[in-house]
Amino acid sequence: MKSRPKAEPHRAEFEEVYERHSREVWALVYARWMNADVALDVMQETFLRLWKQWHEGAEIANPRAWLLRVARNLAEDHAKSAFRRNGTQAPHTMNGVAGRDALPLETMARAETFGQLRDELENLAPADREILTLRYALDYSANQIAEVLEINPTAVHMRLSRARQRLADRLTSQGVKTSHD
Amino acid sequence: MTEHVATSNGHPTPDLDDLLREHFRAALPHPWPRFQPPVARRPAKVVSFWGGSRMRLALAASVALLLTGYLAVAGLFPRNDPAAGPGLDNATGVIGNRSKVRPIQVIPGPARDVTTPGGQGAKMLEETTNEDRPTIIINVLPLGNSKGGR
Repeated sequence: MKSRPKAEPHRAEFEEVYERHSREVWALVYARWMNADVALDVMQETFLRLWKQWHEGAEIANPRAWLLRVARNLAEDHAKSAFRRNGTQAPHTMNGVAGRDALPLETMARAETFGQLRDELENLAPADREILTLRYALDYSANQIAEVLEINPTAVHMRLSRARQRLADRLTSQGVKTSHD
Repeated sequence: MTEHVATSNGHPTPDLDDLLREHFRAALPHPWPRFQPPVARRPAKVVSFWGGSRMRLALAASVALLLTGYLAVAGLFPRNDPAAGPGLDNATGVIGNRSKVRPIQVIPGPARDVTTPGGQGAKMLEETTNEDRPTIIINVLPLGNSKGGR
């Protein structure tokens, strides 16, 4: 990206960047907080900042790297926000609240499995969650993940495999049996 | 990845990949939101002081009414004449504008010889004042007696 005209950024070009990278930005923030709404808010804030930079004629050589860096910073700032400290409980905490109507056994078992999966994902290291989110939320290949994380594809394979193994071990210790490589 | 394996209770063991994919896909917003660029701020419209502000007009009218009332009430009272000095004279105890307090001038009238109801001879002096409502003062002096009465 070269310098932008100060008066009006190229809307179409910006929307193309948004389409190409917004899901990656969302995935990284989601991996940090495991909260889809927070991830969406931070993603939108990140792109608003990019829009402002374009509008002011800033030169951003690599918008993808810029977006991911800003999103990571904003995600960390979220930890300091009053809403995070005093805000409402995440929806999954309501999983433990029993409904009046009895659920079918299979649905209950499934909900329980997903609840445990979520809990164990939250207990994983952020780097593990990041790579799993890119792989399973966006269906990214090792090469694509390598581009986002700026590591080589072999390292992606290794980290992905280890992250899955750690998750499977944690789930097994909680009594959730899964099949995996 | 391995295929689903049946467990002892007959349910298939869920595949970790499938679980993860389903979990993350459920979290991903559907549909994906479009980018909405912020609306450019317009410069604040310059509004004249009186322009379309009923509040300001009402305030101005109130102030004008207050001033008019003050001037009207002030006109009912005598103006303070600096030459006449302060309104309260501590020396004489007179309150108010001293120019309004005119000295009473007594104008002596002719003296007449009269007889009292007791049959004694006396001299009657009639005096008047210069006030708006003239006062007549009658001094009756018994002949051969210096004491006066009214």
